Amino acid sequence: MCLAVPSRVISIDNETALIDVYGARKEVSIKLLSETPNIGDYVLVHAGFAIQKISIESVHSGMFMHESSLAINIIDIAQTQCRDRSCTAVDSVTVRLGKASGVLPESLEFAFNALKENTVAAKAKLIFEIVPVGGTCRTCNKEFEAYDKPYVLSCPHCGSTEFEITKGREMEIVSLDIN
Amino acid sequence: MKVKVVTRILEANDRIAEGNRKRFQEAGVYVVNLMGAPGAGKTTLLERTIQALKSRLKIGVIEGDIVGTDDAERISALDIPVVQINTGGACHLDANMISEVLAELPLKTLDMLIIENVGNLVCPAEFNVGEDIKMMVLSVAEGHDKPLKYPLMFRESKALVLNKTDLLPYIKTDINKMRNDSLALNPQLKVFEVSCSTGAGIDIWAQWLAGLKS
Repeated sequence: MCLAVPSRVISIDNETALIDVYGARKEVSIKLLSETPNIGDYVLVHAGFAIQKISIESVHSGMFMHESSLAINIIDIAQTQCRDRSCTAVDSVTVRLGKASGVLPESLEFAFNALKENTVAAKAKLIFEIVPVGGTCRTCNKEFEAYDKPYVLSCPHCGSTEFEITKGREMEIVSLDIN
Repeated sequence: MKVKVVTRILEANDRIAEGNRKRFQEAGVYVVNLMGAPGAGKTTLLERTIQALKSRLKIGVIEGDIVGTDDAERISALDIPVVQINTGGACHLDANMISEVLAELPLKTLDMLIIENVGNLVCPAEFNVGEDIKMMVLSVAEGHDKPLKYPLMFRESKALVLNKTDLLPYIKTDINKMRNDSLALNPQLKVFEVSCSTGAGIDIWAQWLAGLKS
């Protein structure tokens, strides 16, 4: 999946801007923006280019994609759970990700850490449970798992192509540690 | 304190997709989510398909692109209702973007709504928008290694259109491997071979698509 990162403009020199990405400084091209941003504005950066100017509200509301949007959903769910149980902070969130979900745990963690500021999850850690792709063979009736690839083409036991995939697409929150 | 929750991370999207699906069912419109990489020929296949089916089906289109209205203009030239969504950087359409533009389409008068997703072989497969089927276009020029490199979209799709078959004599793509790997990932997949340039295979494909709405 893709990740576009919200970044603050520090200075501008012609078509290049110096940006702050959660503490890291980086130069990006602002050629693709329709208007020159002001110092202090937030822009969305993807692959070395500022691709869009965004409001500070949207930085916190999740107008951008992709692992970022998943991270925001996680923070939203954590916030709702916290409110329902009248607690104030989340220590950790355990997330179950299937190998075939298309989500990169590192990117999701990066986005989560970048977006959790000023929320109940500000100090929360993400804990991952990675689920391999697995299924049941209709020919030999055995269960199998694939550890190296996000797909299965034939049953590893008998070679049959008649099988049912039963796991590997998970993308869910399993539990929250709250106090 | 440990709290068990087990909530799908994309639950919010799925909820909105369910709302879209209800609106589509009430309007009696069949919805196709058309996916594929940039340059695979999604818009051209759409043009060909509309031309082939226009006399039989009332078709509407939602065009998803990061920027620009080029695709919507091409579809609009065929005199059918079209709405352009610009995602402004996002790499796929989600259920909310679709729900926001539905009021701009005469849904009740349509038989079929085709949603052309943002050109991308990865993310669009992950987001339901309330469609009846997902399908994809893969041009033979993209290479026969693509099904196994991007398995999710092949697995999620009901139909795969292999486009640009007129280029086969000039490239090294093994179309049999392309088809076989796709079918290995998804044995139920319907595979069509077409050339939008020459028109080869378009009739068979369009016939199948029209058959879904009955």
